[in-house]
Amino acid sequence: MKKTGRHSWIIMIVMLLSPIFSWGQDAALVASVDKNPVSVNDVFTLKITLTNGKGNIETPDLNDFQVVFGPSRSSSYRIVNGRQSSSITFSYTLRPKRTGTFEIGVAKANVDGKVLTTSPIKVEVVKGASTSASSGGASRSNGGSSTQSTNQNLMVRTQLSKSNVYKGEQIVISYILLSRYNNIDLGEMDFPTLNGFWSENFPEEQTTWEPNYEMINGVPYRKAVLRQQVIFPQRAGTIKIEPLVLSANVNRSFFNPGENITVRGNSPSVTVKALPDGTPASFEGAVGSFDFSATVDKNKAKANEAINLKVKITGAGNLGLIDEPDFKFPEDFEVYDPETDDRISVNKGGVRGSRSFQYLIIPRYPGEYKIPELQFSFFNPKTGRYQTATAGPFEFSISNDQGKVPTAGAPRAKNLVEQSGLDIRYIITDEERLPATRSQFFGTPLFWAGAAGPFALLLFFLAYRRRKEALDKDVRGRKKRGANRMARKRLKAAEAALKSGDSQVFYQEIFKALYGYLSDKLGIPTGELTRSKIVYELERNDVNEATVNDVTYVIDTCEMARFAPVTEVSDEVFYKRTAELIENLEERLK
Amino acid sequence: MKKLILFFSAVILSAMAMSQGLDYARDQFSLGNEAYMEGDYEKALNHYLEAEPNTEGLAINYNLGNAYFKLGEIPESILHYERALRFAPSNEDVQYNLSIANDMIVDKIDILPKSKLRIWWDTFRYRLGPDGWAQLCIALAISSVLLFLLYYFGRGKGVRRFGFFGSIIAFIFLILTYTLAVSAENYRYAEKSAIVFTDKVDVKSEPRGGSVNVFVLHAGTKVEILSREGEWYEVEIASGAQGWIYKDELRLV
Repeated sequence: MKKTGRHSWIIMIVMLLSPIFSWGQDAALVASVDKNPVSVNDVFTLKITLTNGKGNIETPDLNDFQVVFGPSRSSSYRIVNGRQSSSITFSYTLRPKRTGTFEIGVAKANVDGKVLTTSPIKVEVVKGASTSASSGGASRSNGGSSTQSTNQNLMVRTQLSKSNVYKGEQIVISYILLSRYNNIDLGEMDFPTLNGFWSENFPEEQTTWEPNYEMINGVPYRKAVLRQQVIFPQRAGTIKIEPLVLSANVNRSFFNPGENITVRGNSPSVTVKALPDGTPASFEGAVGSFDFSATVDKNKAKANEAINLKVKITGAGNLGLIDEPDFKFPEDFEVYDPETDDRISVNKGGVRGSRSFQYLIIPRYPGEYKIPELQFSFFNPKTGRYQTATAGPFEFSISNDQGKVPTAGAPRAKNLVEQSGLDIRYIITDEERLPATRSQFFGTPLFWAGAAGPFALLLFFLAYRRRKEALDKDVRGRKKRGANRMARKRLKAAEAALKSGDSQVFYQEIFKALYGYLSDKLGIPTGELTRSKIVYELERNDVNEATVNDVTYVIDTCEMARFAPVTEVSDEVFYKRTAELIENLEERLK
Repeated sequence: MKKLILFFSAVILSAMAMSQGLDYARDQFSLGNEAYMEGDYEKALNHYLEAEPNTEGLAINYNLGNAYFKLGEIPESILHYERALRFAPSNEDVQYNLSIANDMIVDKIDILPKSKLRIWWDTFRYRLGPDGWAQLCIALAISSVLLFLLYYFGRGKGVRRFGFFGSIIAFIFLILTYTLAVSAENYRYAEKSAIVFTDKVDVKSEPRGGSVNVFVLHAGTKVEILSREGEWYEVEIASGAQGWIYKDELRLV
């Protein structure tokens, strides 16, 4: 029935000796009870033991209890490793009279003129059956595996060295096992996760019983420290630590499979105060009490020769959380990331020791350089104040590298341009770049004029051309109409003669009209206008041959009609042809 | 005629008023710049805010964004950077500052990656801005007409053919350019994105106060506006999730 824990926290502790009190050499008086609390119907044993001494023991008043048996006196004498020890024990078997809390007063003993006293014991008397697992193992449930969260015979405690601290201040936390079983086999231990703390473990040790008994309400317990840690709270406020849960197998023996018990410990709270205001610039979270020192191995060096700078922080506090300090080194120094060297011990006094940073510095150019004062700040929870320690400044004088004189062209490690700070880029300062509200060009009437204007102009232009063409055509029509009117005007007399039927006069009038017309048109007086001149002039004016022939025909016919009547064509037709001819001429001549 | 005179005098008066407003804006802008240079961001912001109603565009919004950023008002600064990007979508300074401001807000939304073609298209579309496209529009209109005239009066078959087809192609490009100008203008002035201004906003499944909370946004996050229903906006965030937000929680870019 042995449970195997995850962390192999299995410790077999076998008690070989009977529970005899093994006090040291000095005389001591101790009172103890075997049960607390007790049930009303139960009996319990009060033992008053005087070790290493002789004298009268004055027993306390036991009026609140019924003495069932005793006092019985027993004494023992032992020599262990050459040391002798003796003890005298008075035992009473008592039975409570009623429920309540009763105090067993102090017992006194006068040993060699000194008065020894015991501390008073408060006994709680409760109703019903008591938890009856005595040191002898009274309750043996065969093969049973009962689980109890409260067990008076097995307890775990979480103890804190301080419960009211500053953020980052160290606290020692101890997990303690208290047992009244002879035979205990520890199983799984569930340590709290410690949220909100940063922890450093004590070096691991075997868990052993402590030599002295722990008295709780007068009942003696064996005590063992299961684990100890140093914790540093990382946030302000009240932080509750979860209870430790432990399971164990008890009372196992050759004949007995034992009993499995699971117990839960207490859940202490830590009140964490925030660090006060006014943090120095170089403060980076160190809390404790520290010394700060910095040393360089040389002040004079050649260029490209390494210099060591060692920064050491010594003291007690959260050393493991201290990062390398942020120092400003001269630009022309190449500085490598420091090597961290820890000498830190964790024990009951907390975390103490030293952390050192070793910087390797290589100056690249000769000259005089200075590393400004180095600062290290920490918060001291004892004084409740910030403290700043300083070291330096350090001055260096760097001489030329032997043989190698760095020139402008000498190769050197280029500095990588790194972005160290994150910030937005600068504003635009040119106020000329401010446009007016809604000063957009697109969509304005000007835009529409620009985009649609060319097309409008084109359409306008095309329309104009079309109109002009039409107008041109119309001029010819008007001219024609004018020529018609002209012909009619000229032939008015001929028309009258045609209507009166006087053929002779008709032809004369036709002749006159044509001559008059041609004389006007060609700008030649009628007297000078001969037939051949007419033909010549008409041809000069680009009048076509057919028209010219028509003109000569009309003239010839009119000449002939003076002498003989015209028979080949009627007068009406001749009139029409002459009218057409004049119209025709009017169109051709300007 | 009277009407025409009235119209022109109105135009001239408004132009004068506008230029007066612009002068005032420029004065305030330089005063703001001086204050910013001295690190008095509060004063700088007040001057910029004085200038804001009379101007627009990259410079004023960028500087406002910077001033707000320096004063720690990240949602306002994001709003103004987004406005500046409306006018200069590919300005590196704005993009850089916006990315820093976006790093300081609560919501980190997975941005759906844009395709390369889409990025190229966006850059192409918004690079010239509406005015650039408008000018191109006019140039195309003029060349289309000139080419038509070449066709109309040209002698020789080749020249006339060139004029005819050239004119048609220029006209088609003119229409395309106009469309681009409209889309660039929409990009600049359409109210289709917004910045969350309330510290914590429950985005609802329906435009109704009691509906299911779909997701939670925090101040400074940019949302795209899909539609509006009364006093509620339907929004989409960069990861593609959609929901409804009450109008007072947002400010339109």
